Amino acid sequence: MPPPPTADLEALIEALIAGGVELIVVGGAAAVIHGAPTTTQDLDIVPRQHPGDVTRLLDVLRGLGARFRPVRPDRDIEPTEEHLSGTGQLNLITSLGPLDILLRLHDARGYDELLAHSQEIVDHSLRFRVIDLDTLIEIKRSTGRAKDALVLPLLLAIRAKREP
Amino acid sequence: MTPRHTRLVIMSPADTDSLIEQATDEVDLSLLEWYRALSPRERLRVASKNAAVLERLKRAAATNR
Repeated sequence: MPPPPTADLEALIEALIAGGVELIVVGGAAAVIHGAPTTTQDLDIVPRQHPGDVTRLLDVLRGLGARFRPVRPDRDIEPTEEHLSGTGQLNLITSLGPLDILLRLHDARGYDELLAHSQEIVDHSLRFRVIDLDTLIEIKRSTGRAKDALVLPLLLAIRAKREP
Repeated sequence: MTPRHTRLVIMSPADTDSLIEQATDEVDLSLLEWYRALSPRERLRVASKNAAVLERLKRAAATNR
């Protein structure tokens, strides 16, 4: 059965957390978590890369049958420990949909730099970190991409509503 | 055959900021209120479901073109 073309965001986060992966959700899913009524096709995460983290992430990815996308008969590549130890951005497809692993953001910040700009989300048994709203807005402003500009009015309206 | 043209519009950051501020003022706050009443899990479920529906519609439209 082919993998779904869009991500099951909740199930993907659950699978990663259950596998002991320390991560920060960024991108469109972060906008959704902060309350932006928008959609996203993939889950973007910035994972921690301390000793042991890469092995745990790789175990989860293997369980999800992760491959670099697009997968073609002549291009069927599994992510490796080497890939996950680098500083690149890995666009993967899994049995729960597309997953983008951003080892560094476009501005070179990784998990350790972003941790202080993230917040914990707790919803029953689900506990994970998401980039905070101010930093998400800052990132969306700085990429210069049209799809990021589109969600900015929603994020700014959410922030304005939160402020007294 | 009608030629297809692509128009490249280059906007300054100031122009973009102005448009974003204007659009922010026009956001329907009642929609935000409804969405914010959902739990994080529920928001993720709604977003995933909507993305799947949009993707199906996009593929159906591409097939029927």
